[in-house]
Amino acid sequence: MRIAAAALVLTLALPATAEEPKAPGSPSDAKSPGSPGDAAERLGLRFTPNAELVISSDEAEGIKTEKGQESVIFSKHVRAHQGDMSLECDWLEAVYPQSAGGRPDRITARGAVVITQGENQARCTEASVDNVACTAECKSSGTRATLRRGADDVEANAIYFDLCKGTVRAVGDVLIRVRERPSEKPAAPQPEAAKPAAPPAPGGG
Amino acid sequence: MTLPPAELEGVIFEGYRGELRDLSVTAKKAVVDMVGRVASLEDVKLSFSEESRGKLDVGAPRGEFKLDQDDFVLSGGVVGTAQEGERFSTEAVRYVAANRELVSSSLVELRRSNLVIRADGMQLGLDERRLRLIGKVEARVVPR
Repeated sequence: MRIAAAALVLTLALPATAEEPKAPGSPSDAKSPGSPGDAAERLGLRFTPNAELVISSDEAEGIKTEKGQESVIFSKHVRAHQGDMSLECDWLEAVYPQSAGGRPDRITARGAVVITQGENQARCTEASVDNVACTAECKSSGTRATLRRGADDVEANAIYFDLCKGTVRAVGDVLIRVRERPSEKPAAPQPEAAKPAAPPAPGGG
Repeated sequence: MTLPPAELEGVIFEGYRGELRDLSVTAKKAVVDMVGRVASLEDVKLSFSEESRGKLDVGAPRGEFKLDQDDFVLSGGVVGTAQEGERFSTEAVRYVAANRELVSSSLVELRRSNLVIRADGMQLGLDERRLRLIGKVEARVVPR
């Protein structure tokens, strides 16, 4: 296992940034399979902007703000889906615009927040999605925000997503773990003696 | 002596809070039972006014008015519409005058543009227009 750790700010954007310190013995190409740069390319989340957005929960409360916006707070077993992206949490506020558009401008999720898209999964205690800016933020108080894809993961104080570009930026005591996958491990030459014995010929008992 | 039920046509009821007329009820027909203290209404419409939040109209084929409580129960397919084009529909709704709220324990659907919200029941506070949805809430933004 190789671990690349970067302090304070690490931008995991496309193309992979040069800010990442390379783990000893890591290949010079940051995007080689299994490298932190390769992980960066695969860890982003991306909106499907025209897909139907569905939010479900056991309870909800809506109130019209003074500015004419409609704020709906969903609680208890909250789930949201848009395209292939899903979000689970304990509490979610969706702020709908004053204009006729039905899509919320902003979503804030709290509690055990889990955002999943394909193999990528972000976990934190508070997440906000800005549909106008096409960005999302995932941060945790007390614990750490995490972003995982298979065996690779990123831990940080806060993780920011550009949901249109599919890029991700981790901020604050960033720790990246990139684990070699079995298929990436070069096959070591096996000495003749170590080769398994040929199976006995049929009937040669 | 028992008073027979009174049949009325083109009924208008108005409710006031101070100088403000905050509730207006119209019904095509009403049968008032003075013994049971209840009025049965047909083709009924409740209109709620609130200065800053606009008007809310709630209509239904049938209604019942509790004379002593100022409470209404609308049934037979209730449709509510607000000025901003928002609307809700449900099988039955109760207007609780003491709390100034509409309560439904039937399946409710709210629509605003391409946003559709469904739930097993609702509680709509008219003073703050605070809407509480209860049970299997689903908010769906349908692509245009």
